[in-house]
Amino acid sequence: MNDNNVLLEVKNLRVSFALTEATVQAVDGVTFTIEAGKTLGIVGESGCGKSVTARAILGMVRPPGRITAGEILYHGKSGAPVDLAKLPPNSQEIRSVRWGDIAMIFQEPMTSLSPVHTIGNQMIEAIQLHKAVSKRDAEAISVDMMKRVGLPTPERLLSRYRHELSGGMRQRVMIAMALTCSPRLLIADEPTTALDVTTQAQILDLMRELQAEFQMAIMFITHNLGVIAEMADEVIVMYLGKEVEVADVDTIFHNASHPYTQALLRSIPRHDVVVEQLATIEGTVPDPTAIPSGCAFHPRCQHYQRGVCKVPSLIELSDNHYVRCARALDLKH
Amino acid sequence: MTENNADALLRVNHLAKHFPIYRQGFLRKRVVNHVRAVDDISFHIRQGEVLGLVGESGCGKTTTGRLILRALDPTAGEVLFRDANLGQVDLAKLPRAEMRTVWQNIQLIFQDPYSSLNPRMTLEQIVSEPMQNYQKYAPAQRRDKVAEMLQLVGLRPEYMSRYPHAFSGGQRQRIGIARALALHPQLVICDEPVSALDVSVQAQILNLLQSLRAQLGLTYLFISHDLSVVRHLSNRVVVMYVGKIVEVASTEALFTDVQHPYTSALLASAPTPDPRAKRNSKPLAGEVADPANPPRGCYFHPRCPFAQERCKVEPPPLREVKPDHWASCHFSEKLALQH
Repeated sequence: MNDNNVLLEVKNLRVSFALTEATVQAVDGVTFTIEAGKTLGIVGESGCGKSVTARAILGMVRPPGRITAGEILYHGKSGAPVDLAKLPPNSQEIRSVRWGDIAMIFQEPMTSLSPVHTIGNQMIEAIQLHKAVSKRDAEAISVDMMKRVGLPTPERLLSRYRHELSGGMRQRVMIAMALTCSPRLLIADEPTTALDVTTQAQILDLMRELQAEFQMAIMFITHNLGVIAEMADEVIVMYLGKEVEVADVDTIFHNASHPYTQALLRSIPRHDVVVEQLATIEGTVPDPTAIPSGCAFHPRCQHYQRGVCKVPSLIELSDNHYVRCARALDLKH
Repeated sequence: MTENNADALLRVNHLAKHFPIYRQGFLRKRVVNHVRAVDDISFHIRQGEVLGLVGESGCGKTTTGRLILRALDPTAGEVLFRDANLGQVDLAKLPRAEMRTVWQNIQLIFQDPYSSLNPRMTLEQIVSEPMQNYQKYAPAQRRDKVAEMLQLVGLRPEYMSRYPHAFSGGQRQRIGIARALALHPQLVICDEPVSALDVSVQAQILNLLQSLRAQLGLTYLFISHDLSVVRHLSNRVVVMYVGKIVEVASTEALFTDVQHPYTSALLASAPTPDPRAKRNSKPLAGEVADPANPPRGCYFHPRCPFAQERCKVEPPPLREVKPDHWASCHFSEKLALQH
């Protein structure tokens, strides 16, 4: 990997939530890098820590959650990398990175937009917070961005409220807002999950187009393996706060080595392939306050071996293909 | 539809549901328009089959399910059901009191396993409630029956005295299934039964639904927005768009020999879990038409890449374009659709 291309380095990140009954280790020592202009896909089921990881990068972990260890090194355009994990959540520094350099779009565009302000007011406010421009210029930037994301009649949309827009249009508005400051990294947390498939296809296409145009990296978080296959260059599969497999997208889908990844891929019904019966993963995702000892996946793993499956570390199976499984090497044969 | 459906358990003829839109006038509210949620649809469900009902949000698929159950009163049309007790009845016109008898034979499985179970009732109460309502089994027997149902859906009978909060999403969906099957219904309407579940749990529930159908000889109306789930479970599929049926075919025919441009676009939009299978077509432009104000002619024409003058004025009827394969497109035979 060319070091000059590294945009964000997350090292051994830990985020925990101190609840009254127990402490939940939502993110448990995750390490990854995002390269400029590339798409990193993070896939996992509910409670795996994928959204908390994203929030940690932006300094948006809500109490009682907090970052307890690790570094989030952001390589800005100039100077030494900044450790975002060390910046106070409301400091001026993190605010300038958030939205300015790193922007985020969420699953529910309905709740990320204010119901009592017009679309225009919200966009103009966001722009003026980060750029020293007049209101008129901010409006012009908004109209321009809305055109770029394919919204019809942007001048008229400025005076509309969120409830007047469809789901797809709201997500386009969110993307337009996110891109107004030309971020170098866009964090997209399940951005198409609430949308219909034909709208999803439009939004995914749009994101790819804009990525090429703005040369930005995307961190794409989803539970949908189809969307990951379509969007990602590199993929991290997470389970209960840890990355269990990291590789390029082709390896993940055609040469998966972690039993969890393999089982996930076998368990999804497909519109392009017919199977008699789906393979299943036994049991359910455990309660995060009671994570199984040893390998956290062992109660559901069909390759579990007593005495062998102790706490596994992330091993490099082949070039840039990492697996957190104690039996990865002997299962390979 | 006029095809041979003598073996139909349920036949829906020209069913419609129009919701009025009101505007406050000077003295009273007046109706200014209608949302045509379901607009003149006809289909049938054969005994023992799984009929998939697929479409995007607002296409009327859930409304159709609710009309069959008479949770909503239809504006027009018939819903002919071959009830085990009453014989052939039209659910669209049946008096409420008699609907009660029918409800033991048509049950519903909900999408959200969190809001569809009463948090103050134990599993035993939840699953035995329908038995009580219909005075099925002697009270002393009901406990055994509940145990049997729980076992059937893969839950331990010992859990009977617990409350729903103690269970995960997948387990709650199993409880919902046990409740739906407690009276041995003839028809089960599954409304997005796996959409709210984790990927690894979806497969368990789909397999359970599949094996229960075979084991108990059930008939399903399977409502979903997810084409892959529909393909996996259904024998035949109905595709809806803005309140109308655009295509009906066997699952095999629909996925390999699609006849309507909308179905084709829907298939092309679904992401494939294989990075080597890159999507080659442009996504469908535009947005779903407003069912209160649909376009003239074919409702799909503003988004259809093949639309011609005729499509803008003349609504296409649902017609049999190939044996047992129905589509509502003027040009099905002339288009070489694929995905």
